[in-house]
Parts: sequence; C-alpha cells; structure tokens
Amino acid sequence: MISKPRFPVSILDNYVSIVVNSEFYTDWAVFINKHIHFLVITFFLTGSLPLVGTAQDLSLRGRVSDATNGEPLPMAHVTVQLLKGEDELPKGTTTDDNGVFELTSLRSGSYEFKVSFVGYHTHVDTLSLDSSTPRLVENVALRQKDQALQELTVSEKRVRSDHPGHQRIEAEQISRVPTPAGSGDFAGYIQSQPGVVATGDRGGQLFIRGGTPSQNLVLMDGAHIFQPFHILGFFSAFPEDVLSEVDFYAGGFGPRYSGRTSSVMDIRLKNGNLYDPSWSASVSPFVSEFFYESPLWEGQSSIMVSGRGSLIESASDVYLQEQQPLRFNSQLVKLTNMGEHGPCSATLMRTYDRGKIDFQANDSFSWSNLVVGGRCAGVSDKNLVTFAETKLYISHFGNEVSIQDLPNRTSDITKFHFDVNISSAIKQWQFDYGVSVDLRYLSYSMPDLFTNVQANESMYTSSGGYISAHAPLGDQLSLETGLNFTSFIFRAQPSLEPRIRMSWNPGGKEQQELNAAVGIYEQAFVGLSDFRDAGTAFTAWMPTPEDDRRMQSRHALLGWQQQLGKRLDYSIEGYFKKIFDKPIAQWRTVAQSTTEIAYADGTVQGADIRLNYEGRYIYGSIGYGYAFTEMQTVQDHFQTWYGDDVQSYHPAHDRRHQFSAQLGFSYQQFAAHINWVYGSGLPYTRPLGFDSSLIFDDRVPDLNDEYGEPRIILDKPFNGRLPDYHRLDLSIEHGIPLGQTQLTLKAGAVNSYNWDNMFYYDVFNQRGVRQLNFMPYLSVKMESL
Amino acid sequence: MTTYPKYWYSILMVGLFIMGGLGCDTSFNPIMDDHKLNFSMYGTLDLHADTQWVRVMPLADQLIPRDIAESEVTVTLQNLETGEQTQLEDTLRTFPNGAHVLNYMTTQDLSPNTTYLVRAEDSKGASCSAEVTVPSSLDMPLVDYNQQEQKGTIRGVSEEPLVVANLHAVVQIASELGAGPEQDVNISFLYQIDQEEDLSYQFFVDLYGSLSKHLELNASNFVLVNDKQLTIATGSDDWPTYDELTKQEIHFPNFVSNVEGGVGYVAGIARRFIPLKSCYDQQGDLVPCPENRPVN
Repeated sequence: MISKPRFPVSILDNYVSIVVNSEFYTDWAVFINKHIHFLVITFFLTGSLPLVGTAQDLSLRGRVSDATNGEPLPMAHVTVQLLKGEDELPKGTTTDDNGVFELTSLRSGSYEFKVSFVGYHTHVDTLSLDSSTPRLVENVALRQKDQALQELTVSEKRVRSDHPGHQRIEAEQISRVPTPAGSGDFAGYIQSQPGVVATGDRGGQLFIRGGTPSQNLVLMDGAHIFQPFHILGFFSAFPEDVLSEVDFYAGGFGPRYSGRTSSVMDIRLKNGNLYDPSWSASVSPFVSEFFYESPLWEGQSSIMVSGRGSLIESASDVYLQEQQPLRFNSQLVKLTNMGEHGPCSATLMRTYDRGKIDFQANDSFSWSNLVVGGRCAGVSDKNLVTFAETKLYISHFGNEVSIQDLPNRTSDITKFHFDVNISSAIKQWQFDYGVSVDLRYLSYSMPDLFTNVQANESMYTSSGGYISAHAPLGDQLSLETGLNFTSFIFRAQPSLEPRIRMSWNPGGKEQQELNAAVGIYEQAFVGLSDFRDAGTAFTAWMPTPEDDRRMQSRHALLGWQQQLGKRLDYSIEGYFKKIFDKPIAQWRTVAQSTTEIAYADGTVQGADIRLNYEGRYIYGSIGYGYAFTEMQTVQDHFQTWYGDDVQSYHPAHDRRHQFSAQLGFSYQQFAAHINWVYGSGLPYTRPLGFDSSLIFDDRVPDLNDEYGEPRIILDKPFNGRLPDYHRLDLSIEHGIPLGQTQLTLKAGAVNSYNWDNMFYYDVFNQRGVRQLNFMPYLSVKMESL
Repeated sequence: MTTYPKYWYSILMVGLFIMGGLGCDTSFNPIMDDHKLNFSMYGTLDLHADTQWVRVMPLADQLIPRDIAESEVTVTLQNLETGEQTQLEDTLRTFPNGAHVLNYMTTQDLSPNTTYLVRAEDSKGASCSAEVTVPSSLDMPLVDYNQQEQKGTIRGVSEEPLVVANLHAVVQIASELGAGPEQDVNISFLYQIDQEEDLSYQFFVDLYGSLSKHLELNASNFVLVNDKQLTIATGSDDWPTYDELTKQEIHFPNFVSNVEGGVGYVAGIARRFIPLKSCYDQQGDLVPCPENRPVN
C-alpha cells in the first residue's frame, strides 16, 4: 500500500499545532512530529550555549577575495599572532564559502595578521585590537602568483567537501571534458559525473540520482534559472569562461535551498576583472562564442559580457550526413562593484533554444530563459551578524512544443524573488539563517496533453525562511542541523523541512572523512513531462495538482572520502531516497499521447564512487555510479489491465550502471583530453506486438471492409531495456602566442569510434532514434593575454 | 624527469580493461517475443449469414503489416455439441493503408443456441481459441416507413435483447457550392429501444433528422444519401458493453476479449439487414420485407 503523506488543514493556520496534536497525522506528519522536538531542542541548545560570555571578547572578521575580480576565496588560511607575547600560540581559521573568516576571543594588543591561499601571494599585516573596536573588520584582497608558479600549486588547490552529496566544481575541471567548442562547458562536465544521467545528447534533460529535471534547482549567482541546458547536450548557458565555481549537491543539501527535491547546482559566475580588460572569441562547427571583461572603474567595478550562438544547424548541412535542426543562443552581462564591505553585482541572462529531439518527428520544441537580478554581500561589524547577503531577481521561463496539425502546448513561469541571508559565527559555532519572499506567475495551455489540467493562469505568493546551526562536537565531529519552512499565502499548505548533516574526521585527520545527511525536501511547483517518451523536452510548470499531495522526497546519505598522498583521492557515497506523490503521466495503450495525471511513490538507492589522480601534468579520474530507481503508481484501470491496482516500474531514466573515465595532460601550450562514458540501457516500454483492434460498439464490424484501429500491444511500462550506451570524446589543443593575443587550435571528435547509441525507441513508428555519430571538429579561439 | 606512481599505471590498465569489456552486447530486439499472446482474432459467427468470417493474424512486428507470408495457420470451427469440425479457408485482404490481413471463411451452416470453438494453430503449435455461442434466430421486423419523409417505425419480436440497431449510410455533405466527398456514417438506435416483457421491441428512424444531428449540419448545408442500410442483431451473453469503459480500457488487449492465447473478440450473433421501406401482403397488411443482405 502506498502511503500518502498529508498535512492537516490546521497547519495552514498555525503549523505549531503539529507539536500539539499528534494523533491527527499520518506517518509523514508523525515523523515530523517526533523529530521536531529534537530539532527544536537542538536549535535552542546549539543556539544558546555559544552566546554565553561572548559579547565582551574582541574579534577579527573579514572577507578574503581575489584582488583581480573580487571573488571570494574559500578555505584561505587566516592566522593572527600577538606580537608582544611570543610564547602565546597563534590563532587561526579558514574562510568559509563566502570567503569570510572570524577569529574570536582575542585580547587587546598588536597582532601579526597573515592570510594565505595556494596560488596567491601571502598577505601579511600588523593589526591593533583594543576595546574601542571590539569587532574589527579587515577585508583582504589577495594577488595571484604568476602563471608558472600556479602550475606548481594547482594540484594542491582542490577544496575538500565536508558535505555528503556535495561536489565543488571549478572552471579548470570543466575545461578537461572535451567539448566541441572553443571552451569547456558545465553541461559536458556534469554529465560525466556518476549519478547524473542524460537520456540522450539532445533535449538538455538531466536526471540526478533518480530525480527528474524539474526536481533540480539551478542557481546562477543565487538567481533561479529554470532550464539552462541547451538543446544540444554538450552545451549550457555556462561556458567555462564565465564560471567561478559550482557547488553541486546530488542530494542531502542544506536548508538554505528549498523548492526542489532532487539536486542543487549552485553556479557562481566570475566577476569581471577589476584591473585588466580581456577578451576571447571562438568558433567551431557547433557554436561560436565571445567573452569580454573589463574594469569600469579600476579596482572598483567591472563588467563581464558573454554570448554564444549555435552553428550546428548550418554546419551539419555542409559536413554531416544528417542535418541537425537544433538552434540555441545565450547572452550574459554581469556588472560588479566592490563596496567597502563586499561586492554588489547585477546580472542579466537570456537563453533561447529551438529544435527537434527526434529529427524525423513532427514535434518541435522551443524554450527560453530570462533572468535579471542583483546581489549584495558583505562582512558586518555587528555583534551577531558576520556576513549578510541579499538578492533580488526575476526569472522567466517559457517553453512550447508545436506538433503538426495540433494546437501548440505552452507553459510559462515567472518568479520574483527577494531574500536576505545572514551568517553568524560565534566562537566555533556558525549559524546561517535567512528569509525570502517569492511571487510566481504560472500559465499553461495543453489542449491535448493532460486532460485534467488543460489551461490555466495563476499567481502564487510564498514566504519562507531557514535556519541552520553548524556545531563542532570535539575535534573530529561536526553537526549541522537545519530547518526550512515555507508558507504559501492563501493557497497551499505550508512546508516544514528538517535537515541534518554531520561529518567525522577519524583521528582528527582532514585527509579522511565520513559524512552523512538526512533530510526532508518538498516541492510545491512541479514540472510535468511525459517521460515515457524520451523524445520530449516540454515541461509544464504548475502547482501540485492536488494540494494535499505535494511532492516530497526524503534523503539519507552516507559517504567516505580519503586523500591518498598529494595526488590521489577517492570517495564512496551511498544514498537512499524515498519519493512521495510525484505527478506522472497516466499510462495508456493507444498510439497517442493524450493522457491524464497520476501519482507515483518510489525509492532510489545507489552508490557513487570516484577516484581522482591529479599529477603535475597529467590527470585522470574514474567514476562509477550504481542506481536503482523503482516507482509505484496506482491508477484506476490497472485492476482491469493487470489484475492489480498497484504497478511497480523503473522509470525511463533508471540507468543501473554508469561508468566514466577522464584522462588528459596539459603541458605548456599543449593539452589533450579524453572522456569515455558508459551507461547501461535505459528502460523503455516494450511492445509485445501490433494488431488492428476492431470495436463491437453497438455495431458489427465488417472484416472485409474495415481494417480496424492500429494498436500496440504493450508489455508493462518500462519492462524493456535499450542497448547500452557508450561514447569516447577526445580533443587535443595547442596554444600559439601572437604578441598580446593567443591563438588556440583545437581538434577533436565526438563519439570517436562511431558507436551506434540509441537515444530512445519510438514504439509507434518502430524505429530507434540515434544520438550523434562520429563527428570530428576543429575549433579556433583567439584570446587576449 | 617526471616520475609517476606505479599505481597510476594500474589504474589506467584497469580503466582500459573495463572500457574494452563493457558494452559489447549489440543485439537489440525491441519487440518482446517471449509472451503467450499468439494471434489476434476477430470475427463473427452470424446465424443468418451464408458465410462466416474470422480474421486471424499473428501479432505483427510492425504497426501496419504490409508484408504477409503465406498462411501457415489452420483455423477450424467446431460445434462443441456435435463435435463436427470444419476448416476455414484463408483469403488475403489488402486495405488502402497498405495493410495486408488474412480473413478466414466458411459456408458452414450454424445452429441457434449452440456453442462453437474457433481455433487457430500454426505449424509450430502456437494456438489461440475462442468459444462462441450463437444466439437464437431473429425474425425480420415490420417496417412502417414513409419514403417521402424518410421516417418510419421498426417493430419486431426478439427472444434475446438486441445488441445492434445500426443505420449505416454513405452520404455527402452538400451546399450551394457543391457536394463534398462521400463518407460513411453509423448511427446507433439502441438507446431508443426499450424492449418489453413480451419480447417485442420498437424504435423510430428519422433518416435526415438523425444524419443532420450526427453530422452537425447548419442551415446552409444539406446531406445527400447515396446508400443506406439498417441492421439489427442479437448477441450471445458475452457481447461486450462499452458504455462504462474508458477509451483506454476499450483498447486493453485483455479487456474486451474472449480469445484464449491471443487478443481479439469473436462474437456470436443473429443479424438481419433491413430495407428501409414498407412491405405489404396481398391484403394490404404490413408484413416484414425480405432481407436485404449484402453479398460478400
């Protein structure tokens, strides 16, 4: 029996009643009810203890950033040592993700203040602390060492993760995945990671650890972008040139992120260079792109502009056997201003995609994103506010599918968002909390798709917040408890999502770590797609069709990571997700997509293993992902169809085994990269055969005059498996300095050994739709030095 | 000179080994073949027909079967009360969409209220069958029909409920600008029939009224009737009722089916083809018209 989590209606008025009235709830609410006492107690204990006796101490706090662009430098080392008391040990800390540090319990006096970070010149200064400025703010901008020295240190720069499910991706890593363009792309890199499944090389749909694309949260400098992946799977709106780093959470993410139940891709864009203008432009048969950054006021403000447009539609006519009806482009502008306490930035991003997933089909898809927003952040000298950040943005996503002879299906969502986030560090304790307000406008029209939700326009307002406490428990253990809450004004029931993460360093060694996370995740706005047919890229955004069946996921993760010497590290992580009330398309047997909505519950369990080698000139990595996704759905007609109300199935993205390997080298102006990926076959609904169905509906069909209605006799949905998928991409590049510029020539090939990879099987037309065959390319890139 | 740790080469070799070993299975059969549905079987056993027709096709591996091998399927009709068995002859039928089908026929007379077994078996032993009960005889009804107005009443007596009361017409929708293409129209009158306890039934046919409503004609259109045919039939007890079925359920392979080992439906019926005209005896009394059964 599928359990159905429900909130009582009384929560709408006062969710505090959860704690009081425990008999009323089903298992979900009981779970919350049981644990909320623990959570509340934990918060109060962890929150109140460190406050005692801290107010009178002197403290030093600040933000460490890159001098050239103002970007924060996480994990930088900060130390102070009292100059007239050399017998006293130095005090030290490291910067957090925002580049912020805080040293507390300091005495009055003069200190040597030192900030260091690999690849950067060490900053040394003398500071005087006294009771007149009990909380001294000292921001530091570090200058990068020159290129030669960086090469020696880059391998030591990897930032360890202390969260399960988390991976920090830097632009340099992205450049290592062969991409048929002048620069690397986030889309190519993320698809090479275990646990990330792309059903094909078109459509821009990513399934992460059993979740569907609409369950992924993609943030760009904190602004939500709904579909940043282009229709040609190698590309996204984020080429390597514009990226600073990406925090990728495949699950178990903290309470700061809300509204999605599968994964988070928190993408931080580069700031434009504050001192030196630079540019690049490139062209390949797939895409052309340009990048420009420049100071507006030297050392104070900058601009970054980037754009790309596809060429594959025209280029495929010239040198490929099959025309690729795919077009996309994107434009990005970012302005940054360095304030006294921290940077403010404004960002504009626009994307457009149009094309066919199945080149022979009549369905043509298009979508666009428009994101406009701003963000300000800085270090505060207030007592309990170390770091504050505020964001305001508008994000619009529209998509459409046109099918011959049928009215277009359209769906649009516009989101207005404002939030304030605050970090407080008190002694060894860190508290993060924030509030947000959202306004969403949704409209959709699906005249022939989901018959019970054909067309609608609606507006939703929600407000929410989160709080988390990160508490070290001794030298080896740290615990982070958090809670996210969202209230949907006048509309849906509120959500309450507790999350806990912990890490343990056995023996206090940073080179090895066991980490774990559990949490509850809810999603009130769902993207509906009919993924029985992998050839779709249309998503209809709407509120959960039934308010008391909000999609929910519970995550549990356990991971181990270890550094073996300076160059080798590995990680193993197991995960378990339980999914409730996921809206899906109702199953049908006739040869048409008209359908209704049903719900599915399910579980995802699996493990990801990574092994990385980082040599001076050579790198290599191997990743393996195992996943087992099983869903259950109850639909009215199952009893007559199968003799059982409940059907279990493996959805179309349930790739059981995934293996990837990257190998490459980089020496002076030469670089070569190889990327090989393997994925076991994806599920599809297998036909038993075909016949012509004759209907005895108030009449007797005439066998000699009537053929009947062509019918597919289908096996249970998703009972078959497509062939395994594998592909080798490679590239080699050489940079040629030309005065103040550099010309980089890159040659490569997609699907180098021309493996016949099936995208999906079209049961209606009995043909396999193929991914790209062997495709050589040459790209040229000019850039300033 | 740069030296690399020995374990790096081991990792490389393991990686290459895995890369070489995985993904070598290239066979892919998109159609499931290890199932127990052998044939698609549709047809009728009509008590009053000279020829019985049953379509038997192996489940195709393509949506529209355009190529069909010579039949290796034997289709038999067996009277389960007498044991008498007849083999049906195959005929190839081609449709405008390019589909080829095999319809099997026999001129064997049927007996009322008798159960028959229709069985198909191929040379490999794969088989399917349907048990069909033929209903009792259906008499021709009285038709009181006004040819000018194309309206009239159909009255009769049937031992079993009618399952079919269907008007089939070949029509053209016309206007002052001309006539459109011919189209087939089927209109059921079953919803009008309220069979009495004395087994009598009656329904009213308004040809143009029914067609106008069915074709949703407006004031500027009219309909040209090129051919028309009224059929009524009684059916065996397992005659399917579609009223409460969703469109999905109608197409479920095992839902509207009496075929074991396959999909489809074979119906036992007693059908009459009724001319839409009044017939009188020598005394001028209304009598049933002779049946207007089409010749296949």
